[in-house]
Amino acid sequence: MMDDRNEGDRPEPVELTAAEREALDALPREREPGRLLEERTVRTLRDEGLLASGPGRRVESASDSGMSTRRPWWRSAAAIAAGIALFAGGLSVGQVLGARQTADALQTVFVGRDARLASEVQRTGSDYVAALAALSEVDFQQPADSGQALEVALTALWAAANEIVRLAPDDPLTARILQGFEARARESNDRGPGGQLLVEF
Amino acid sequence: MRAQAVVPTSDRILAERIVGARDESAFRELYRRHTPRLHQFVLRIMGGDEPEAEDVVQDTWIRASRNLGDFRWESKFETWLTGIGLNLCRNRLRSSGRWTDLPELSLAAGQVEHREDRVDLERAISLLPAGFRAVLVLHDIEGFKHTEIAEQLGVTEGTSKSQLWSARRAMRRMLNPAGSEQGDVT
Repeated sequence: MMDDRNEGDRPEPVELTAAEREALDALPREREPGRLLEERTVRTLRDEGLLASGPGRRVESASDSGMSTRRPWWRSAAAIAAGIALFAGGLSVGQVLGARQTADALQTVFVGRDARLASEVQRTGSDYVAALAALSEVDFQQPADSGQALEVALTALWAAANEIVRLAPDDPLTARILQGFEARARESNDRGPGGQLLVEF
Repeated sequence: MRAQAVVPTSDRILAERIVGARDESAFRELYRRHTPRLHQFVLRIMGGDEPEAEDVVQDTWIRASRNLGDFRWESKFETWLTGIGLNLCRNRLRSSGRWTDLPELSLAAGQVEHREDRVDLERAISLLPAGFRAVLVLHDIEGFKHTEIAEQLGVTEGTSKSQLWSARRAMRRMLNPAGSEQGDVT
């Protein structure tokens, strides 16, 4: 297709029609990036010394809530434990975790701290994986039921990955899991409000 | 008891906490306040490439954090951040051969390559040559004036105007390839 002006002519102003203006105004001005990006950015800034690092730093935004914003250590511990439990066993759903290895790992990580809590989280993780295994055995009569089961399972996985990324923003496995979720959520959004897959905790 | 209005901490105070105390919570607050807008802007300038846009957003914050102490607050923080993001987009597009400096960009509006019969507005914008796209996004979506665009892109005001008109014409033809100048917008 050729332009209808002679080369070198001063271009004529092209004003927007009312419909074009309206359509441009209706375009979204904001878009949330993946959660991973914030953690990645903060980690880089810490590495560069532009943000303080160490146990005393505040993790949550003060505007998030009126509650104390410091993240208690046991929440991180719980996240580690949940992560180990989910991912150690998650690759072979249908088997009840490599419980011995996981328990050993937890003993090492939490020795001298709250081993009871860690053990509790590990047990919960094992129960979760066992429940998934049982779920996979069920012969669903309605396709919608299996869809809901999948949604619940994925939501738990997503929540666990979100906790892990706070501890290890550069972990490639977690990054790929979250990127997969983000891509899926975007596809769902593109399909409209009815297409939303994840239910956030 | 009277309800107390929650006043968000100003960008400047947050920035001072970041520079002075390397305060992570202040950074996170500033980041969460401005990133959705920055991300959408960068995504459009990069032609819709999400992973690349996220890399640019991260680099923008890193560069902004390095230079935060030198920012003189003569413009809005958001405008400054957008300018950094735009520069980084331009560098990235240029290094991969996707950006032509505006004075050299004399592509006739109708010559924009596209194979679809009809595209929606967001897609039409993403299909524009990067230089056209930048001017159109800055002017028609972000509301920058030609003087500001000229300063950001290092061109004259006249160049900014002529590129905007070419961009609009190209966009219109993509939206309505049948040939009507007054294209329908979807």
